[in-house]
Amino acid sequence: MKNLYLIIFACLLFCFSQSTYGQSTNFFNQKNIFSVRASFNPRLIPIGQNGNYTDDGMYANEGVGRGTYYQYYDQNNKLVGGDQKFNLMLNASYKRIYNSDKVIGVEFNYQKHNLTINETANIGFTEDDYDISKPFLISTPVFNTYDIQILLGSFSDAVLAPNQHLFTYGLGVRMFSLDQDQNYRIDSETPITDLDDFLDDYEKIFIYTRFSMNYTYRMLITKNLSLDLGLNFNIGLYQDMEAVDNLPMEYGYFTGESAAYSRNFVRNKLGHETFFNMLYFRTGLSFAI
Amino acid sequence: MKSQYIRSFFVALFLFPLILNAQETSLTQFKTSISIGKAPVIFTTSFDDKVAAKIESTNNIKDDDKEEYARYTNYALNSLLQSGLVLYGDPMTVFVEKVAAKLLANEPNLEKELQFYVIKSNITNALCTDPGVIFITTGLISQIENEAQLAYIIAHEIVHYQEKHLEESFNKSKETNLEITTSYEDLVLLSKDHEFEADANALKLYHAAGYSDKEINTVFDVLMYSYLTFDEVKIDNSFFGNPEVYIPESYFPEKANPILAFEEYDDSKSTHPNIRRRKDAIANEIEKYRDWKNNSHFIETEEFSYVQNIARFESVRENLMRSDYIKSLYEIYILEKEFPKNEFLQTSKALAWLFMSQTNLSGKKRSFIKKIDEKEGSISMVYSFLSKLSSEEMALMAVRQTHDIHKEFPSSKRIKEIRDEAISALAHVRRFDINKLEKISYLDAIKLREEYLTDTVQTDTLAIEGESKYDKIKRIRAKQSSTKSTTELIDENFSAFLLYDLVGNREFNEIYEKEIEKIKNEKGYTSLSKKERKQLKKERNKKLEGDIILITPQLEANYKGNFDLDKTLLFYDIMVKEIPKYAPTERVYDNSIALAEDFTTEKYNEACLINSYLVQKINLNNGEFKDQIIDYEDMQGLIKKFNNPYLVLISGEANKSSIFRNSLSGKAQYIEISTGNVLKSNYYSVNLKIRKASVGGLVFEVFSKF
Repeated sequence: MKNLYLIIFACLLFCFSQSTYGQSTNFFNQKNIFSVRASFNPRLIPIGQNGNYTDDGMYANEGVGRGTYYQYYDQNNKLVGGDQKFNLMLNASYKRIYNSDKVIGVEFNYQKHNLTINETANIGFTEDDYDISKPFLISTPVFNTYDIQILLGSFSDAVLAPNQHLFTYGLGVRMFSLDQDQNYRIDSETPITDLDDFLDDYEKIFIYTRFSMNYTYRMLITKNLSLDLGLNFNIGLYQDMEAVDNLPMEYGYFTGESAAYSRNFVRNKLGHETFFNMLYFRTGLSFAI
Repeated sequence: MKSQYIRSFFVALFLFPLILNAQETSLTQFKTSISIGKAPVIFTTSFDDKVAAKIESTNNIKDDDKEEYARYTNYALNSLLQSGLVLYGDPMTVFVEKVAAKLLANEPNLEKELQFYVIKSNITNALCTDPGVIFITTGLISQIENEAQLAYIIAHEIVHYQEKHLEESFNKSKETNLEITTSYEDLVLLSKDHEFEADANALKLYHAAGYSDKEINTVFDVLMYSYLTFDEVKIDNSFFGNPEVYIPESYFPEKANPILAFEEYDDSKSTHPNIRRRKDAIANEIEKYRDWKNNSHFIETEEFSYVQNIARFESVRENLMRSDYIKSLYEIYILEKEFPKNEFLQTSKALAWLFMSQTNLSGKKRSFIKKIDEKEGSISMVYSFLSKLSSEEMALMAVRQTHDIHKEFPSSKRIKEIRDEAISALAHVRRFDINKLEKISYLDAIKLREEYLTDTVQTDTLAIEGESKYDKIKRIRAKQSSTKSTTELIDENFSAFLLYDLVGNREFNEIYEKEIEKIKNEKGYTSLSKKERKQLKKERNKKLEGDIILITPQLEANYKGNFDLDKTLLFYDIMVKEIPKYAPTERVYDNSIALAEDFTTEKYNEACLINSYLVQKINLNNGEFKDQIIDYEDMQGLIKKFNNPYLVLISGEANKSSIFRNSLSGKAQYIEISTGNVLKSNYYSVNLKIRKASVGGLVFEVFSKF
């Protein structure tokens, strides 16, 4: 894991070394850029890993989740599942240009994240020693996700900033906070789940460190306004992403006791899932002044 | 439009005699020629109107290509008209028009279609552009010997027009898919057949007008030797004016380089056939005509020589402007025999010496002395001499020459200023010791030495008994110093005697000391504290105050490396619209030569003046020295009209290499006319096509300095 910090450091160095031949001026002397963008995360990695019930009624757990998968009990107590085609992230950023082509700024992102909870309990064994498992605690807690990042970067030095190619690196935090307004049914029998029984300390937010690399191609519409097209590569700097420890107690299912998810488990699972949503395509508008 | 043209023509005709009377033919108060009278229609018609008219009148070109032809020929013509070099209504143009009128006496229709202008250029050339506009250069007028020769050249150009050679060339280039360009040299790229045809058919007009056949061959000689100065004169001591000035013989080569021009040069890559072939061809043609008259002129020869002298004076000026100082000096040397004590010539001479000294001290000697071996004729002597001079000798020569001119024109403030500058330049000579200068001239020193030698011979005979060898040397040295000259009298030391009359002059020493002091102060800048340097940097980035004189920007658009006329015009178009948005309009004075209805001769002359200034500025290599403007009085008059004006020269280039790859770049130079300081804008470069935002950005950048 220490290597990652090294990589970030190297990337930051790269970002500063890039433009030793910077322009000595700006396009219309514009030094401030305000951007509003939408980022789309096509489910490139999870797409082959969609969770599904197998023919024998078993549930394939791998690939479930990854932020876009959802499952819930509908009014007829029927389990409904599916996946959205992409994650949508909204960004707003402010950047200040200094030294003609370098930028420093701050970026805010917002998106919703579906954490798929889908546990199975072993309820017996078949003759062939296969587990007979039964899914329980099926739900999709929705998290509002906020990123705050410091951006550093530079424009390509061939043309005046702010114009055309922009490379930025962001370092900041990603915060997940449970959307408490929704009703999460953990099974068909429970019409309303008390959030206390659903998640330990549900009011507390989860904080991760994040690093991002962005490339933006700016197409000028007017001298101040431009259309941005870009790529955004997000890496979560969370170390332990195997969501195996701290599972809710299986006996809870049998005893009917509350089996609230521990924070540690959710934390690991969130980290794990977001890791599969690294690449975003961005589009939006920038206003430079 | 035609009637308007005729009217302007008559107005002009009416004006000419007045002008001739007004301008004294002695050229004592020569100033560079300016256009006179009402602007010809060609200057007041917009580009689009000209194109429309051309499309209408073109017959020999396919309908599809007509517009392209019209646009390209008119763009080329406009570039020429906007060069600031074209004259109308001046004595030279009037003379050309008179000669043309004589040639076209029997061709009234043709006469109405044709227009004649003189271009200030030392290139010996005449050219015909498509709408029947014929240009004759001042270089040509300065070289030819009489009216008949001019008549033959004009007739030659008229034939190019008559026979529609340009259209033929265009069609030919269309057929062979050659790239059409707009440089005027290429525009007259007529095939050699066209040249032979023009040579031959010109005889018709020429013969009919009654000129002599004997002048025709000479025309070809004029063309062949046109690279030489307009006359060939031997260089002797009078070149340096002052008889007291001793220039050692050893500084001159034994003889001048020979003149090598020969008639049968390889013409395979030239647009024109070689002179030998043309002479042979024309000899046959001449025989076809009978009853040759013997006239070499119809107009008074005084008028021709007046006009020719103007052209020669212009040549001096142009050479100065283009930093061809030696050619300029040589021409002055030729002209001053006919025009002794001419203030223009002498001022130019002083300037040439000053510029040479300053350029030399700036380490740019090679910019005006190069390829000495290739110089032909007497001028090679001057080149050779000046190349042998060290910086110190050149600086001293410059003071000598300018001071002599100053003595000749003691009342001229301008010449005094030039001389003072030459003295100041001395302070910039490395390892120069003013105390080494002698108070007597070299020739006087020789005389004194001779007297002394006869003295010592006598003393030597009275050898003092018991005197050691060293006592004797001491005695002789003591005697030597009493001759007022300590410098050894050898050729290498000639420069120490150059300023014999100035050394004791208080003013001379004061100017020199002042400059030394100034240099010392400037050197102090290097040891500034960080804070002071920051302050200095801040001052440098300070906004410029003062008026802005705008001249026509230099814009060019290319598509895949080839000139794109439509996009270039679009570039200009957007630029014109964007300038008022970002320029401080109350301080901006547009002095570009815009060919539109509001064109006036006064504005045009002003723009031409600024153009000339720019040409000089671009060619000047005088480093940190203060600029001396060639058209001094006119420029002073112009500067007075403004508040510390800056000349803003915008240049821009747009390239499109594919649909997705566009770039537009540009920069500006700001020349503070009063000081000659040049500042540069930041380099502007965006990957955008020619559009409001990209061009606007460039304009914004250019004017962000104000």
